[in-house]
Amino acid sequence: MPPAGKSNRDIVAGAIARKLKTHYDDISKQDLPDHLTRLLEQLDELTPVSPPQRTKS
Amino acid sequence: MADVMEFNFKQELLVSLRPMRAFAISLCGKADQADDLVQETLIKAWTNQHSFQPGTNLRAWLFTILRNEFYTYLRKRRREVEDADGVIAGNVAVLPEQDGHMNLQDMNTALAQLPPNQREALLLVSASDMSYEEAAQVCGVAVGTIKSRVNRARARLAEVLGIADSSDLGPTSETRAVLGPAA
Repeated sequence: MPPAGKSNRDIVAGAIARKLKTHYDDISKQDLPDHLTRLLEQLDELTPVSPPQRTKS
Repeated sequence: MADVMEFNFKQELLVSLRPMRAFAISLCGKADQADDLVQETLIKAWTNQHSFQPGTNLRAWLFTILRNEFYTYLRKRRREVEDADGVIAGNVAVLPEQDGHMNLQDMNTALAQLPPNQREALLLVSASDMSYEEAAQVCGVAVGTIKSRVNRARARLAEVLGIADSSDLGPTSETRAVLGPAA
């Protein structure tokens, strides 16, 4: 019998959300791979693309 | 001013990195492929930062790039058949619970039972804490479509995980913390 005020559907949705967030937490605890941390350090060497210049016809 | 803005954008990318990686791994099921997606997303975000309007939703902007990269990857692979109705994914597997806690690959395997469009909707709303409106923006569909996909994904995932009703939920992490290993 679900608690008062909560449908079984709400309870299942909450359970799934908790499992997914635990899953996310487990992933977040992992060390970042080396190539991603290196990329972050080297972002400054990547030149941002300039927005397209509009020309008058 | 340009230096300050550049610094802030980079800081925001740093803050978003782990959430993006969690989404990517959960979306494609494999860490190495997910890391490639995140790498491509970071590069595209950095080199196209002019197209992001400060003050708008950076997380949604980044996740949009990432999920688009995911679908580009799927099209290139040409291995995964579009299964919008979940017909092929209907061969569900009920995974055994191990002390109420699933390992990382178990959850990835469970999520892989969902069609990609349902999987991403569920992850964005239930795991990434996006609103339905934000998730709809990321996926480029109507809010009603996201709600439908999330509901179907929840029902499918509950079936895969063997969660039929509240009696199958087992102890929460808080309960386990109080009761110890016996829970």
